[in-house]
Amino acid sequence: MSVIETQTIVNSQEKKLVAEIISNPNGTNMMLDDEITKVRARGVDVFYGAKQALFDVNIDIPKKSVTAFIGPSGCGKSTFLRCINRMNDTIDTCRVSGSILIDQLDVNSKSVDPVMLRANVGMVFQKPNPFPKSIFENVAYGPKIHGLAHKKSEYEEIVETSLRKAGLWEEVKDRLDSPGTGLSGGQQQRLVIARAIAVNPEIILMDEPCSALDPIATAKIEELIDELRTNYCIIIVTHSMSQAARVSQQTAFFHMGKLVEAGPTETMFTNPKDTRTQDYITGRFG
Amino acid sequence: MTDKTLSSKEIIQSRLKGRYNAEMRFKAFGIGMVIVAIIACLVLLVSIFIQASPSFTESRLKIDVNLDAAKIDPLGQRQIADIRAQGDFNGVIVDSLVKHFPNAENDGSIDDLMEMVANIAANPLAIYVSKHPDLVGKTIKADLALNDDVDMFLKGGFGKLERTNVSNITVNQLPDGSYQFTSSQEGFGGVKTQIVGLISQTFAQKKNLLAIKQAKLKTLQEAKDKTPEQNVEISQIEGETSELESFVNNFGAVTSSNSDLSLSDNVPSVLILGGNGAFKATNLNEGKIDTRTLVAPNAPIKDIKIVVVNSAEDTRPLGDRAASLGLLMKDSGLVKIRPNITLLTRSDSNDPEMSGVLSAIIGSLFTLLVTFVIAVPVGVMAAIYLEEFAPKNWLTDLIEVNINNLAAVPSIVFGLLGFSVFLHFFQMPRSAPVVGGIVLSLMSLPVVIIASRAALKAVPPSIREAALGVGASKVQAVFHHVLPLAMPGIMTGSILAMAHALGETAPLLMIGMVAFIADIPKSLSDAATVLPVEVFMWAGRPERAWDARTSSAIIVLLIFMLIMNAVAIFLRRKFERRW
Repeated sequence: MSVIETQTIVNSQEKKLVAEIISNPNGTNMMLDDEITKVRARGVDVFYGAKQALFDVNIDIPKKSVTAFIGPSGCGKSTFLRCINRMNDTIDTCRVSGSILIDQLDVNSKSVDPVMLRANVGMVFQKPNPFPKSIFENVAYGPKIHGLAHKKSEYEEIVETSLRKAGLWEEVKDRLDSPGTGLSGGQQQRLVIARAIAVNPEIILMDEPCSALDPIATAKIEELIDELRTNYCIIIVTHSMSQAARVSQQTAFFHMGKLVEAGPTETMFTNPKDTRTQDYITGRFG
Repeated sequence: MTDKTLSSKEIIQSRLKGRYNAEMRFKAFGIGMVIVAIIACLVLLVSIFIQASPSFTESRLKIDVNLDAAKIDPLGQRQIADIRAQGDFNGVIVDSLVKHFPNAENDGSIDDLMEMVANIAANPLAIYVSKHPDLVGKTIKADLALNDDVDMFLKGGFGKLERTNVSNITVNQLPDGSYQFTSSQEGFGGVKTQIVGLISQTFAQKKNLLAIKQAKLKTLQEAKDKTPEQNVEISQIEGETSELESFVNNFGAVTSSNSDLSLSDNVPSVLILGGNGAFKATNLNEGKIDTRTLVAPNAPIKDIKIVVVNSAEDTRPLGDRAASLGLLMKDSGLVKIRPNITLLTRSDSNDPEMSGVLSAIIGSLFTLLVTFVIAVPVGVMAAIYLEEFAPKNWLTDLIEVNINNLAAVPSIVFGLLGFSVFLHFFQMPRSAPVVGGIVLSLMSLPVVIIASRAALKAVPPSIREAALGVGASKVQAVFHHVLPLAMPGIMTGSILAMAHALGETAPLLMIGMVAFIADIPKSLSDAATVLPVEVFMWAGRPERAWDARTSSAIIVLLIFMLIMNAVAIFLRRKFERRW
C-alpha cells in the first residue's frame, strides 16, 4: 500500500470526473482521487512464461464513465484489461504482479474470489460469443448460477430489464426461445452485453467489441456504451481512434507493454504530452 | 540467362499446365483409391453373404410322432425327471419315420433314418413332453431340426440338384431284384448328355492334375540321393496318380462313344425317385437305365423323377441313400424349408442344425454393458480433468504420452493382464462377462480418453471465456457449456470404441471366454462367450454346415457394428450445435 500512499493525489475536495494529469517516472499517467476511482492499478507487471508483456502499469480509472485503451497490436492493452477480472488466471503460463484495486480491494488478494470478481466485472469479447442456447437462457445464465433469481417471473424480469438496457428487447422479445447464435453479429454482441448486465456488475470490460461488426452495428453498440456509462464503469479496448474519441471520456495509450500516457480523451487527442502518443493518434506510427 | 528474356507472366503461364496436370493426377489417384476401397469392401460383403446364404434357411422335419408310453416313460410314473432321463425320443422319431419307409429294416436305410434327427435335435421334443406328461401315449405333430448334411444336400450345398421329368417310362423288375427303367423314345438322352458333360468336366480337371503330378513324380524320381521325406512324397504321389489314371482310363472314351455309360461312385450320381423308393443309376444309355435300389419302394412306381446330383458320392459326407431319403421326404412334404430361426433363437451346439448365436449375443451385450459402464464415465472424466483442469507440467505430459502408448498396446496384452490380475489375484470367475467387460474397458479406456480430449479441445475457447466472464466457476463452465458442446464428439468416440470392443477376440481368449456355452448367461458372472469368439470357434469346426453358419454369425456381428455406428452418427447429427 506504500505505493499508493506515496502517490500524489488530486485534491479530494474537487471531486470532479475529469482526470488530472500528473507526471511520474514511468510516463504520464492518470491519477485520481479515491472517491472517484473505481479501478486503481499500481506497478502491474505481467509475464507470459519468460516474456514480459506489461511493464509497471499505474493508472486510476474513474467510476461511471468510459475509459478507452488504445495502442498498436500486441501492446498489452488487452492483457491489462484481462487482469482486471483475472481472466488471465485461465492462461497457465501467465503471471501477474503488482496491485489492481477495485474499490480499494486488491483483486489478486486471497480474500477475493475470482467468481465473485467476475460477477462484479462483466466482460464482452472481441467476437460475439453467446452460448449456443436460447436468448432467454443466455441472459438468465448468470443470475441462475449466482442465485440472483428463483422464480420464473424473477428471471423474466431480469431478462427483460437486461435486454432493454442492452437495447435488444424490442428486436428479440417475440423469439426469446430461439438460439442466441441465430442473431446477427451486432445483435449477438448486444446479447452478450445484456448477459453481462444481468448479473448486475459495476464494471464492464469490452475487448474490441466492435471489431467484428459492420458500421451500423458498431454505431448501435457505441450508442449503447454511451447509455450504459450512467450506471457502469466501462473500460473498452479499441483499435479505432475515432471510436475512442467518440465513446470515451478518458483514454490510455499503451505501447510496447508500457502505459505511455493517460488522460481525458479530449486532451489526449488534441494535446498529447508524449510524442509517441501524438504519432500514433495522428497515424504516423510505424 | 533465358530467365531475363521471359516476363514473370510468361513464367507463370509456362508452369500453369504442369500445375493443373499435377492436380488432375492427384484427383485421379484419389478417385482410383476410393474405387479400390469400395470394390474391396463390396467383395468382402458379397463373399460373406454368398458363404452364409446356405444358412439363411433351415430344413425342418414335420412329422406325426407317436409318443409310445413304453419308450418315452418306461417306468410309467409320468415324472418329469424320468421322462427326461429315460425317454427314448430318438427311438419314437425313428419309429415314425419308419412308418413312411416300411422297408427300411430290410433295404438298409434304417441307419440313415436314425441319423436324420440328432440326439440333441430331439431335445426340444423331450423338454416339451416332459412338461406335458399327459401327452405320453398320444400322437403329436413334431417340428424337428433335420440333420445338417441332409439339410445342406437339399439346399444344393453338395452340388446342384437337377431334376428332369421324362414321360412314358416303363419299369421292369429284373430277376436279381433290381429295377430297370426303359424309355421308348430314347427319353434318357438329356440325362445322359448332362452326366457326360459333368464327367468330361471332371475328366478334364483330373487329366490336367494327372499331368502335373506325373511331371512332379518324374523330377522327384530322377533326383539322386533322395531323402526319406522325398521317398514318402514319391509313394504318395504314385498313389494319387494311379487313382487319377484309372479315372482317366475309365472315362476317357465316355465323352465320344455312344455306348452304355457305366456309373461308379466317383462320378456324379443319377438318382431316380418313384413309388416312395429311390434307385441309383449304374448303367445308362438313351433308352434304358439299370439301377441299384437304395430305398425299396412301397407303392406302385409312378411319377418318376430323375435327379442328377452334381457331385460324386465319394466326394460328399452324405451317401446316396441318405440323400435320396432326404429328397423323398422333401417331395412328400415331411421336410419343409423355412427361414433359419434356430440360428437366432438357440445357443451353441455340437450339431450345426441345432446351433445359434443367441447366447453369444447376450454374452456380447453383457460384456459391452460392463465395458460401457466402466470405460465411458472413467474415460470422459479423465479426459475432462486432463484437458480442462490439470496443470501443464512434466507429470501430466508423462500421463498423456502413456495414454497414447496404451492405445497402441496389442489387445492380447490386456488379456494377459486380465488373466493374471482378475482371475489369479482377485479370483474372479472364469469366462464371465464381468471380467471380459473390465478387460475390454481397460483396452478402450485410452481410446475414449483420446477421443473425448479431442472433442473437448474442439470446443472454442470463447465459450469458456463467456462462461467465466459472467462469473461461472471452472466446473460450471465445463459442465454447463463445454461438455454439452463436446458431447456429440465424446459419444461418437465412445461408441466407436465400444464397437471396437465388441469385435475384440484376443483378450477374451486369455480369460477363458472361448468356451462351449450352451446356456444363455443370466448374470454378469455366468460363463459366457461373445460373438467374435463364437465366430472364431465355429470357423474351426469340421462339418460343411459350419462354414455357412460362421458367415451368418459374422453377418450378425456386422449388423451389431452397423447399428452402433448408426447410433453414433445419429447422436452426432442430433446433438451437434453450431457456435
